[in-house]
Amino acid sequence: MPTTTRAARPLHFAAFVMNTTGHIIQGTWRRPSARHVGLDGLTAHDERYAWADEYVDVTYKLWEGSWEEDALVQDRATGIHSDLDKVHRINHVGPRYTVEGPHLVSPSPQRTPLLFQAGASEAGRTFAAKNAEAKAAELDGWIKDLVADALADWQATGVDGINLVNAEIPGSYEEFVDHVVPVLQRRGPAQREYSEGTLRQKLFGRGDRLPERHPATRYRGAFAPQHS
Amino acid sequence: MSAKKQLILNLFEMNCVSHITHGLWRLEGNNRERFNDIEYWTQLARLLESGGFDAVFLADVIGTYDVFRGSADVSIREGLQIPNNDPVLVVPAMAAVTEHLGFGITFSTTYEPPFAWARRMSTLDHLTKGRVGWNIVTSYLANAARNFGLSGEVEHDTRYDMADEYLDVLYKLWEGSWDDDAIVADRERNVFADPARIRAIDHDGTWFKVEGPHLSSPSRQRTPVLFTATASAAGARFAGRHAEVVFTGGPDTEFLKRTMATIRQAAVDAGRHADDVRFVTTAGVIVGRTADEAAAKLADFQRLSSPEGYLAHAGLAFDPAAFPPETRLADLPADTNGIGRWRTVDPEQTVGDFLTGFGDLTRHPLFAVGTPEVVADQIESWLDDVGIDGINLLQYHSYGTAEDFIELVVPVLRERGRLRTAYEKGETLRQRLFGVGDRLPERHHGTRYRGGAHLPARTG
Repeated sequence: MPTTTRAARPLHFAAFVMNTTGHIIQGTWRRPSARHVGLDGLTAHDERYAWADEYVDVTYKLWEGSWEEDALVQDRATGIHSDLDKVHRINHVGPRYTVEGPHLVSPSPQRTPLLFQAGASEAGRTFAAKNAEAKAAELDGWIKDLVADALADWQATGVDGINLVNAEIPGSYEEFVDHVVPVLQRRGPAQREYSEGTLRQKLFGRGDRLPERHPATRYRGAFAPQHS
Repeated sequence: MSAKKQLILNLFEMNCVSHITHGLWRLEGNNRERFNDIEYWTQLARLLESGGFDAVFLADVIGTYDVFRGSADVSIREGLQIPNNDPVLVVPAMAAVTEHLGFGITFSTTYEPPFAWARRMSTLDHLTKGRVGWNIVTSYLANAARNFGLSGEVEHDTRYDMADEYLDVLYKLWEGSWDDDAIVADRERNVFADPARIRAIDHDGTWFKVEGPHLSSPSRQRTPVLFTATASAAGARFAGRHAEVVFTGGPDTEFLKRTMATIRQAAVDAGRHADDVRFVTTAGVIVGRTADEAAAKLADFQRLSSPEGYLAHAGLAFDPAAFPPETRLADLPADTNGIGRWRTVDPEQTVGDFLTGFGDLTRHPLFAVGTPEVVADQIESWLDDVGIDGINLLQYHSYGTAEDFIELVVPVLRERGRLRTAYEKGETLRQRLFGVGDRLPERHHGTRYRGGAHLPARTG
């Protein structure tokens, strides 16, 4: 539940290192039928996005579809840890991937992690429009005076947040925290305290899980009990 | 006069509820179902370091046990290695709250290509300051194969061929791609690394093609301590060539002795010394302040132990309970021959007798129950008479098993000179286990690529 009232469209910023912990959807360079053989060159850009399309589809099936919400029972008295009827194989068979399942991990707080995507190409934009919840826009250059004005301008152009680039660690972040954040907090777009909940809840304020209209959610409850 | 052999002491863990003592997650106060919480792991790591453990050994599988009765029903119902989370990701959390505890991480060479794994392990070796080991496995679950795009398991000996080449790629990346002095970090000249001391590996083999260079700079150990878990012939050759610590098992101590002799010989055949390999095996220890207290614990555990869980875990291709108990195993239908992965079977045994072995915690070949002195006697006998070097302590109860061991057994072992009394500051896992440095010894095959030797020359 959100506990903090925030600006209608708050500005989000993250240290650039977040890229390694967030889930960034990108093209991948592995070939399906010869996974152990390296490729001789880069696969065509659009082709990589086609692979990525199927790749995320598989993850959606595992994250959203394989385990039903109340599959984990953990009842010591009956000895039932998980409910058989609510854990499903996904039996994905596609041009690039074949994955039987079930997912090996029970549903996590967000199930599908927050989906970031970096890319400005045609294929990338189409992919992002379909899948991504946040697109990466980078702030180039060094933070100096008036940076808060600049941030406000960018926000006015429709950017929701920035990935802060550092010149010096931890100096760049310390300066931003000490000098820029207080201005932004005064003006409104920066939060004064963290709101409760998962990363998705913090950014969107509409719950921990993907919204119903995201394509991943079509797999919720879509798979039959595997033991039947 | 040689000193007493000291025990390598690891805790056997897995990022799941029911790892290998099935049914016991239901014990009062058992924390197993907290495995999704990072605090479960940090608390465990602190506990183990307070008790002088060498390492936590993390098992893993990448599929479900779905052979028994033709489904994964028993596994799913009992939490038998499903849900099962990634073992790698709990290591940095544990490393952050400890200084000395080592980590043995299971990872399969069969399904994910070597380049990314090389980087992940180098990163972990940096982050832990040289405290990681890798338990090399080739995977055995058919469902794992079907999760990674194959129609069935890769044949056993082929998996070892692949693993051999996989290791070769890793040695090239870990040992050969970067020289020790490649990092210059010269602020004046804006030179971080010297390109002349970093090289591509240009590996082009049967299974893998990898250009390089390695993306991580040399870590404390470069190559993590290499564990393998095996008992097969192909596995023994592989272990003789690669393994520094062999995690082995078997139905009885005679089998264990034979396996150890075979692998030591395989190491000698590979140009190494017989004692370049250490042997660690799973052991069950139930200890109490009195014999009665220990017996009461055992009875409590036996009461909740799940024979069905053990049957599913063994991957039995048939359900013995479906036959009358007096049936001889030899009289079972032909398609029931695959009687279990880890068991040798006496064909004259009856189904009933065969079944009583499943879930009986005392049937483990290295099992000790009793007072601290009795248990310590047994452990000394394992070291001296069976000839093992260490144990992966089975957990019946988390954290009870480790707490009991630390409180009651560790002091006795220390008093008898069987366990270190303190850690050495800044020691890597390899240095602690072997005492001859942080890196692989020269006679290990993996060192042949050092300095770029045996790598294809590039012109220009």
